[in-house]
Amino acid sequence: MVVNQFKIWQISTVVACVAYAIGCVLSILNTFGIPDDIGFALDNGVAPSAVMCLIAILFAMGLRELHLRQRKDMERFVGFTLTGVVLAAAVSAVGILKLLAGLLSKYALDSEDFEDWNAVDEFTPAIWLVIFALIAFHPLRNRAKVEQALKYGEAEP
Amino acid sequence: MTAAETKNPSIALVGTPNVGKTVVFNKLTGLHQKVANWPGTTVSVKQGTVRFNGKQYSLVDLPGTHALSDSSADQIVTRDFLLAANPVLVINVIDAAHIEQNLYLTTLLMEMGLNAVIALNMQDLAKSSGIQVDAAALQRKLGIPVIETVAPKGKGIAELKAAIEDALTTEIKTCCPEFPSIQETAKKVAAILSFAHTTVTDWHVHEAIQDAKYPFDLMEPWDREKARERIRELVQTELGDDSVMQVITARYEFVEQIVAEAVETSEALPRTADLLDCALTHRRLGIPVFLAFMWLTFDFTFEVSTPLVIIVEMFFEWVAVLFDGIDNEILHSLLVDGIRAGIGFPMVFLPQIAFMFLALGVLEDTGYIARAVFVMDRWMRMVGLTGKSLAPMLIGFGCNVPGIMATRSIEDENDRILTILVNPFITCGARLPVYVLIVAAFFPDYEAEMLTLMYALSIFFAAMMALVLRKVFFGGSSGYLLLELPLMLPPTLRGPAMLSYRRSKSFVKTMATWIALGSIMIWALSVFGSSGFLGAEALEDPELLEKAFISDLGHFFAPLFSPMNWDWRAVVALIFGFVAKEIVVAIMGVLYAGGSELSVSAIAGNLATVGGFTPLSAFSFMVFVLLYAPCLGTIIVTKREAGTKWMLVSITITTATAWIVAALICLIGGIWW
Repeated sequence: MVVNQFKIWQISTVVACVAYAIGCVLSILNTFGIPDDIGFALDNGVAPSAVMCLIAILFAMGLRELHLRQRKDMERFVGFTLTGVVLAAAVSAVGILKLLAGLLSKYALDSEDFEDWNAVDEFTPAIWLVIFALIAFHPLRNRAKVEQALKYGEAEP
Repeated sequence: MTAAETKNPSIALVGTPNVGKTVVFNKLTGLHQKVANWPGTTVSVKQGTVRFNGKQYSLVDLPGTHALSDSSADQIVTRDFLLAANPVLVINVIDAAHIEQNLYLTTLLMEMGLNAVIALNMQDLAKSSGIQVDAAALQRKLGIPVIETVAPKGKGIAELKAAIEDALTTEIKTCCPEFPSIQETAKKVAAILSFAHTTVTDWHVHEAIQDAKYPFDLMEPWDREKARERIRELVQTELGDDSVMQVITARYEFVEQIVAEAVETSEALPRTADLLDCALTHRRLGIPVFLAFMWLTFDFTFEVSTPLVIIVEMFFEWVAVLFDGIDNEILHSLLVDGIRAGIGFPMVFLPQIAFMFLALGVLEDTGYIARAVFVMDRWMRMVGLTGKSLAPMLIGFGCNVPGIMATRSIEDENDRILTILVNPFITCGARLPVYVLIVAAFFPDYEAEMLTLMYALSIFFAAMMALVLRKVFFGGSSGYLLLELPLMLPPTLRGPAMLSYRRSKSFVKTMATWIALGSIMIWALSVFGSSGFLGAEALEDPELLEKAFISDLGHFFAPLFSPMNWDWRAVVALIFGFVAKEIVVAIMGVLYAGGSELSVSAIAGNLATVGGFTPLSAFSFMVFVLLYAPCLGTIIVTKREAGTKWMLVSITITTATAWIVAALICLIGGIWW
């Protein structure tokens, strides 16, 4: 049981880590205007790229701790992964709120400043990559399983 | 505060920092005092009125403290109130999750023989951390009523009220704990003190054994010296050199006995939320995570508030139309160009202020701010500040006045003065509208990044100034930070909403008083000149405005800022900004509106066309506003907390730094741009 749980955590965290790392790289490239059109809107600017990079690093740090599989390391795995999830969720929530604010300004308030604004351009990876973070979070939602793994983590070969 | 200052009998609320005293205070009084999930929020005495048994009492929320010695202002305030104001009851709020540290203060209250009730708070969090506190056993051992509460959820408040009513009726004084190891000496010391002291409690005796000053303060000078000398000799003979440690050890032995019988600790797994600490306080990742949250705060502030900003702009446009029917030209101009532009333009930034404090409130509520303090401590000490300086500095991001008052929790006087001096470098909420305006005008694609940069610059200059001031005035090194990290909690809606409301209310209040007066004055100086009334057109026609009194004032001060090459209108705004920082943007609203609509984009456009600002000069203007002399309120509180000398030092270093840095930005930046 415990071994399976470890595998699930490992895979889901790897997926989230890689997704955010790709998001970060694409965002950096977009800041310098390299990809012309890849079919979806990308984040632009140093700060969003840096935050996505940080989320990827947090997941990577979690994976490193998971690899060590000592009880204390297990706690650190949960800590790093959850921090990554919280940050990813905060970034996504702010992105969604910005999108709603834009929609309200353009369609309800008819603001001139929003004439060229387009909702599709705002739907960037910073918003939807949270799905991968939630995949990493899902196994951690079960407190009992986390406790079980934390308890027996030390005994795990 | 003394007993004479409170009309009603007083009830004191006492506890160690961050145990939820203010939450209990708010629940009992129905007031909305500031609550935050980090230590040191209550730095001054707060008072409310409560009714028990049909009688009115003053409930006094005292600063959180671990002890009652002379080592810091908050300890002195709490101790003096308890001894001088003679409260009819003390409500001792205890954090069940950290009961051992909290019971030390309870022991001191028992030594003072005060009528007390204990609110055993945060029982839910204690249980989740594997700590089971038996309230009945605790009550039995202490001889004080113990009521279990979860104050934020209102649990146990009704029971606490009932216990307070009982305690007020019966007035059972707490019995003093017994300290066998020092008992014999204590009896002899009590006998010496009794000669000259009318009220000698066990606390006075134990403090006298430690050679503390307070027990002797109420004596006549002759008695004082004689009694102190006799006690010193006695203590030296019976207890030796380490009498201080012996008293403290005796108190902790008593606490340990209580804990052994009333508390059961099981080896529980850490709470999931507490596991976040390994990343939030990580040596290398802690600061990037902090910066990421700050950037998110500003991104949220800037972008999500946009619809509300538009609504406020539309409202003030509608107000202008409302005044169109007024025939009198002077009155019409006063209402539209003076009051509407002066008050209305800064009000456009109200949603951003509200949103920023909403976001900061969330960070505060979760307990993250204390983690930020911990992460920054290493860096703070490198520049000569202590981690304890960070709490006042974080409060300074809202307003420098409470930020400076919060330095009262710093024990070391040098550290306290240093923190007061660097606090004005922390950018307060009143300066935010200026940044928002300039950033919208000149850096529209990097709004959140530029705001993060301004806040980072604020911390950088505060740190650099601390480094310089430590070397020039104080020397030595800063103290170490002893910080009890609060539990990580999910944010509530109420806490952040209250913080946002309080700051927004303060902003609107300033608008309605200082800024309204300032705007009328600026309008009058703008439409009147030596030739009389120039007409409302003066505000639209730059050539006509040159004939107004305001132009004379601006041109008089403009040479002071010649290296920066700022427009004289902006110089006028800065000069009046000495009174309150909100006035800077209000004056810009009056002088740069120029008959155009009252919106950020319109006025931002005029800054470039009429004011001749470039991105470089605009950036230097922002930095000047960030660094220059604090507002009148901050100057007054600096004088009160640190004295005239340090107030003058504060004004000089802030203004000189602002001028030098702004000039350097223009001169060096001008080489490339």
